Amino acid sequence: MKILVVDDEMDVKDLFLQRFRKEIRKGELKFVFAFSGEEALKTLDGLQHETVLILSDINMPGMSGLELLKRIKSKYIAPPPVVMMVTAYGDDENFNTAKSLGADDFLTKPVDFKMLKQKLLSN
Amino acid sequence: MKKILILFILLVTFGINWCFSQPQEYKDHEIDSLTIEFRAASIDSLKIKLGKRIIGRYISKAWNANNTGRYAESYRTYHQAFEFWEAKEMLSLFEKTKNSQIERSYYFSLANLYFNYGHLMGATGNDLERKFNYLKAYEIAVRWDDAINTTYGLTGIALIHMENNALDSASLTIKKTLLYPADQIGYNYSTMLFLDGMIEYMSKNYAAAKHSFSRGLSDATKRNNDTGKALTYYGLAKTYTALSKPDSSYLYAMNSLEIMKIMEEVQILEFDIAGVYEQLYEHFIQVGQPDSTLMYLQLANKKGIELREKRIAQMAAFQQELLNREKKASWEEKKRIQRESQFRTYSFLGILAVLSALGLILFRSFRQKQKANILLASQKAEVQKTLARLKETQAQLIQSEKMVSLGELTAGIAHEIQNPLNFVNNFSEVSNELIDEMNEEMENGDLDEAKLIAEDIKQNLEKINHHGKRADAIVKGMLQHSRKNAAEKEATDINKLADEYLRLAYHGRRAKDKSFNANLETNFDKSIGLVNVIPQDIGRVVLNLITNAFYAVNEKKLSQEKVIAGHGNSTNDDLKPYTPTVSISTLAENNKVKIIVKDNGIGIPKHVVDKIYQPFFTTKPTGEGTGLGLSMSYEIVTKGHQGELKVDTKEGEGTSFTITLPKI
Repeated sequence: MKILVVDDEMDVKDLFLQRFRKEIRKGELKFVFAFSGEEALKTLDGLQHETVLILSDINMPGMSGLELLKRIKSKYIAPPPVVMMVTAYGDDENFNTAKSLGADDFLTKPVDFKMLKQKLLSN
Repeated sequence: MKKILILFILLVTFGINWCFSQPQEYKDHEIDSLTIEFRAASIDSLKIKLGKRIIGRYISKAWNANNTGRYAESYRTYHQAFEFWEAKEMLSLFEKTKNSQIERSYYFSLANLYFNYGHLMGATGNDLERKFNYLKAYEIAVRWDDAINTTYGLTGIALIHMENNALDSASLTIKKTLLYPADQIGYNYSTMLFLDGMIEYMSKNYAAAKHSFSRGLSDATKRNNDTGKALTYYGLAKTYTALSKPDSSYLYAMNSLEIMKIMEEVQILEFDIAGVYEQLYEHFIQVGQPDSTLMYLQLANKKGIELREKRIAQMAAFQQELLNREKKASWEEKKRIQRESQFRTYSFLGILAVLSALGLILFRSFRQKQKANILLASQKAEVQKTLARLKETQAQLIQSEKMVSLGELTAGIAHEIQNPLNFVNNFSEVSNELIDEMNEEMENGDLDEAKLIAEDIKQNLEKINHHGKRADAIVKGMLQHSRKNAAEKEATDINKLADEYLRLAYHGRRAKDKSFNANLETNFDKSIGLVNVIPQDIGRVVLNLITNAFYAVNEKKLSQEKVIAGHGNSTNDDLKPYTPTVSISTLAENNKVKIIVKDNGIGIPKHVVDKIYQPFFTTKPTGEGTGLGLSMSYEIVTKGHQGELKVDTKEGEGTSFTITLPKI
């Protein structure tokens, strides 16, 4: 399974690669990265025959994470990929919107990597 | 006596009939709407027509202000008028027609403007300026064969000669005006005859004086000119007293009085009912009736005081206007000024009462212009004090605007700081783990792997350092933003600054309104290099422009959603999906640098574009904008950096602001 991480902060890539270096080495997890919602959609198009889990930031310039979520969930007929949303603003409104758009999980920054690891491995 | 007579007619103004003066607000409104029409007009002949009407309104407004003692407003209005009329485009508009009559009409208004401005200069004691403006009016009018302003200019010059007691020169000058036929001069012909009569009177040529006054009277009667009648009746009354014909003198004085009882005063002429009473007093001295003598002396005195009081009230009203603008000035302060002005009024009245008791000599001196000048000087000091306080308040307002925009930034800053801090924490934690792993590898003897891990750790330390600095810069920027004192210019990376403030504005807006989103585009010209600016000031301008752009795109999005909601959920494809877009770009051009903030929002309506840089002007709902953002931005760009701030907008389609800064 591939995990697509979407965040406008470039250093997120290095961080994930290091945080999950053991899992990557063992082949338990595979990561791809996109730095905007638009880029994420393009990446997904190229991964059509794979199982993908998406981990997306909400606050990004241009297409926001929520918009991305909406498009993913409405585009895929069956079964849509698992989408986890990440945001710095852990407020009810974002949470509710994400849920109503079909988000499978909701994480707030700073991300607890131990918990994330468990979630990713169990998926 | 001569001096007093001259003073009466110091400020004769022609061209406009004060009886028809309109309320001020109406006139302002009219100038505004005419100006809008003028700007919108595309046909030259219409532009000329409107331009002539506008300059007429300006002169009339300034003249009225002068006549009612609102000198500051009059001054301001004349300068607006000059700016409007002497603009190159205005002259070329008339010249383009190649029609000498139309061109002449331009110079007619110009001469009239100079002439009337000369009066204001006289009223405020700027004698050199006064003479210069009369001469200028005369010069232009002669060149364009304009009888009216030629004679007006001459009359003004004659008045100056009269004041200087140069009766020969005054007489020569005024007689030149009388060479023109009455029909060419029109309404104010009688005033020129009156002046001629007064000069003859002062030269003790009573027969000639009588002749001129009589001609003036018949002209004024023919034209229904009450002012002319009052003046010439008064002249005749004086002449008959001098000729020892008390019956005629009394009759004419009473005629003049009848008109002046309605008119009270022609302030711009400094001719008033008190002057007529004074003449009656002279008359009764001659015929030897002590009761009437005393009565008219008292009346002259009473009216003199009343009119003086009125003028003080007008001055106080002017102050009040300035005070009203002062938002934070305390009420007590206003009261104090009122008390002071009252105190001044009363002390003035007291002095005048003593003067009248002292009798004729002092009564005369009270009328002297110097008094007025002293009063004016003290009023001026008062106004300057008020201005100083106004500046103080302005400084406070600027500081509070800074705090408002700081508030807008705070949420953005919190977000911006959180990201780098997360990275600092994460990379340091990960590095810790990596060091353990490295030790393991070394114990296993795999030095190559250990080296690779060390590389990673080094890279992480650099990242920690980078994100630490990022947070540091944000905090520093925040402190700079709210700093009170003017900062120094420094070589600044404009692209970086624009990018930083774009992010701050975006996150600030997002924190306030979670549903907000916009497509952000940046297009930076890397060749612009470093530019010498005050970074936090230019940052504030960029922040303000982007904040406005966000507001504009959001308003448009909301209105489109309303339209869609109005259509129900039908699949109406007429409406293209709207993508709110805000872009910021930079551009190097010769020795200049441009920063362009562009949005595809609601745009600015045509009728308010001219007002956007005015302080306190805002189209946002109450409480959402201070109305100071753009005015401060304008100030920062033009005054602080000798640059330009230009707007290009179309209602419903979007707005683009361009900041142009010199690169030196």
